[in-house]
Amino acid sequence: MRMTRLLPLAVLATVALFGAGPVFYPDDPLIKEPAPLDVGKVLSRKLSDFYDFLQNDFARPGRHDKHTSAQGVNTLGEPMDGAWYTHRHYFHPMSLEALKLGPDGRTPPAAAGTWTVIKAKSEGVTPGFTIVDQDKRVYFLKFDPLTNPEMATAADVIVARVFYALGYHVPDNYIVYFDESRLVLGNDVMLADKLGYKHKMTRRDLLEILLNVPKDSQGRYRAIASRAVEGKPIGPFRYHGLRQDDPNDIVPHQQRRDLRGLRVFCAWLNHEDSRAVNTLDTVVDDGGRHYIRHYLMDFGSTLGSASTKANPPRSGHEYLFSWRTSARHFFTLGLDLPAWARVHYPDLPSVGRFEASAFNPETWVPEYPNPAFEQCDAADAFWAAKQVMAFTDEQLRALVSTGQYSDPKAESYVSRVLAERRDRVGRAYLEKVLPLDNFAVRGDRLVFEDLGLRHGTVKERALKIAWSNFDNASSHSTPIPGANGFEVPAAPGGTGYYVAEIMQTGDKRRMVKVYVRRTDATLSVAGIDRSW
Amino acid sequence: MTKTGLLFHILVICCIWHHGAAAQVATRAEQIQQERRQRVPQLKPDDVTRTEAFLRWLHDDKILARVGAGFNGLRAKMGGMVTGGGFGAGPEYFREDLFSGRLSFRAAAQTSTRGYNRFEVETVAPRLAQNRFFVSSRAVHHNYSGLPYYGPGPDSAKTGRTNYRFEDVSVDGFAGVQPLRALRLGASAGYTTINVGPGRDNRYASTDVTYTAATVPGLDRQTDFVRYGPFVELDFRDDKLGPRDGGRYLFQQTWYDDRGLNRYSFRRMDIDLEQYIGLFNHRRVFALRAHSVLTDTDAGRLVPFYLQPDLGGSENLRGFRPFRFRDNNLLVMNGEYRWETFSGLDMALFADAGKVFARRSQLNFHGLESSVGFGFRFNARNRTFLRLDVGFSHEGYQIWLKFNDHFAPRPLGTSGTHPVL
Repeated sequence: MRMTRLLPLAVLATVALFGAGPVFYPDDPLIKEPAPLDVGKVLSRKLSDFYDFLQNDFARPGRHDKHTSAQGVNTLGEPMDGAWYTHRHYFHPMSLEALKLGPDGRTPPAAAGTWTVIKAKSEGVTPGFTIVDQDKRVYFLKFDPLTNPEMATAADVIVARVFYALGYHVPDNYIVYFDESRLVLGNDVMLADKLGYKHKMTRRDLLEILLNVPKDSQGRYRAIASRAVEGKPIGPFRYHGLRQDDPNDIVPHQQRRDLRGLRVFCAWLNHEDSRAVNTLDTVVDDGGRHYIRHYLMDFGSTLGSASTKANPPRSGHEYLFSWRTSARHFFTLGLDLPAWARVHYPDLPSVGRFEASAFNPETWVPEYPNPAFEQCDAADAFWAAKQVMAFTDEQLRALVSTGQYSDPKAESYVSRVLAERRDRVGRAYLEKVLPLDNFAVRGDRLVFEDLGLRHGTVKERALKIAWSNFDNASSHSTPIPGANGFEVPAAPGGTGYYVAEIMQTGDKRRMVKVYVRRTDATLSVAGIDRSW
Repeated sequence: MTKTGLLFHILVICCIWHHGAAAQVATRAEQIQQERRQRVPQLKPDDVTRTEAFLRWLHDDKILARVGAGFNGLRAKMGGMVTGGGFGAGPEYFREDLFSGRLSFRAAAQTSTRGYNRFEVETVAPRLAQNRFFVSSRAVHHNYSGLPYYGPGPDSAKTGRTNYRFEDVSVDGFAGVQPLRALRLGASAGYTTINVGPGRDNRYASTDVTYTAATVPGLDRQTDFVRYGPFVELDFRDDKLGPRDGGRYLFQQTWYDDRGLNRYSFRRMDIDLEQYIGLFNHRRVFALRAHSVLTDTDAGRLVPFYLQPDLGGSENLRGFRPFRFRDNNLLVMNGEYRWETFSGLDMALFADAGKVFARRSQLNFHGLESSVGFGFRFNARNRTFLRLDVGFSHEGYQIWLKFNDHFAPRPLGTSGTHPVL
């Protein structure tokens, strides 16, 4: 039986090694990380995309690590509010309006005045500009490929809002329409040609870049305007190891629940481009204290988009390279046809290739191995799946509407596929563990929500429960005879702990231990421990 | 103190220290802060390894692109000689930024390990008047000291291999219109002067020793030609550099007028049909090609052997050596089944069949030579940058390592009818 303990590993290690130190502290469960230490001076550094590919495909960092349960969580198994993550939609349901607004949603580039181009790139994945509007706000403009108008920009806006609702730090993205007269060149803007040689950018350069940008039916250019995120950029984070210059980065990234569970979110949204270079760390000034905040960036290669073209059919189904699948295709002469090759995609250029029928959340893969994703276990996946399932069809439609598809069929299709993929995520992962969540004590009764019943992954479930007294110092539990109901066993005053072991009748494998703290007359949930 | 005793003491000290540290915290928040503080002495810049820095430099500074582009347009040109000509190298001057990118210019000089020389100058304006017109010109000089010749016709013996020197100077130009995205119409004209001499490859006899002008037209005397003619190309492939669906059909008629001897004038018709059938989201592709060159002459005229179409080699009949068969007419068909093993490699199984023949009336499927084989197609961004084909025939096997797609089309116009490129 594989088992995970959601209580922080450090606690257990302390208890096991030294026999001292409590399992639970009075402030457990922590909802928010303590205030970060000042990070001091941090140098910016870039990562190599190609090195990242080679390292993760062939060296596979973390491959030989012994699997451990996720860290960076509180005693409920939830990542805490902090530099990586914030509790959002699942925990505090957001309104349709809030979902559509995302991180801000109210400060697009100023509609009046001109936008001054201060930086441009004509090469790379997509052409783009850095602009400053008349209110001195900085945005990055990115465009769609000529072959697929609206595809990448819609995906970028929609998925940024979904990731925001899921709790991640993301940029504030807007769809904007403009004509070329809106853009003016700043002073001494340099443009690199395809050989990397820079020259002073001219109006002609700008217009030539725009030649490769589709226009809408009114002759306007459509772009995504991504507002510069807060703080000083210092380069991407990796999906393994620690930042060497960040005192607050104490959990190896491949062990973080918010990065391991990210695999499920990326599968749902087909964010196969979820690699290090599509992240960004910034140094944020928080009232004079500086700390590093971690962002997910660049969602142009999500849903059915590969930024410059529609997703290749392989997307999400096979790595760009793997020995096993390559050998299979090689030796079978291609006759072992994968299911994804037989998928029919609707002719919707603004969508690209996005569908649900061949989507399997458990076998979904990004472009190349991601060390954190490879560590994703049933508890990580459950943590993510319950959040995916929290989006209703109506909420998904609202989120998709932010992509501003001109074709109603495209909007309807993307909404429907997202809902179908959501349901597949739920069916795949909710029942990997006993899907009880949102534990609380009301009066003297332990209450919770059965997410399997709520989302229809089971029709009914019979549960059994057994209570024990729990010694917080030694972690020893003593069964309480006859305590087999959902009422917390009566006990005299003072501080103490109980643990309830909840199982499904006839299933000895999946269990949830709920630790209840008694402080004088108050009962509260101190922690959760899942096994499967 | 024994080693064991020392270890025990260290362990005890560590436990006491750690116990003390753990005991100091009263809350989870303090515990986390303590872990953070313990990291502070270990902090250092989060830099990248030298290997990563090198790869980043290669990418960010576009080093490979710069090397490929050369210095102010001057660069090294490697490879590209006729098959069997050895490895060629030499300087090349290439500019594609002339007239705001509307005109490209290329001049190259190459010599090979077998002593073959090639000089060429090319100008191309592929997109004029909003992509409606295109013009191009090309001048080339070859001096190939030992091209293979196996004798005339489809029955030539493998053991009959000889070699001859091929020297030429050719100047061609073409212009055309593109009324539709998939349709190009045009005409071209050029002048070529060719000299044939004794071969320098000592491994084989010289052609003029083994064969006579009676059976090999043009072996004794060469002449100059004016060549001209129209072409029409229908190209609806989904991706011109890495097609997986669609087709390309080319019809071209060329008149070769003998300007010196009035003996070798002929007409040549090229038909080149390619069709790609992409299945299963284009992860499996059947690539089919039929290519025919048909010539005819007025009474008393002949097609010189060095301008006859040839069969064999990496571009058509891959189980046979290059230039294995020559005659007035050619028919060759290729079929490939390609499948993707991973995003950077396609595999292929192929079958080739073809023949050369003396008269147009012999255009049929009788007497075809055939070969089969397999290939590896290495791709980057859906473009084949390297292919390895292994072809088998009753004459043995051939291995081809080429830096192009198998069906890479020859140049349009009269220069595309030249025997060597």
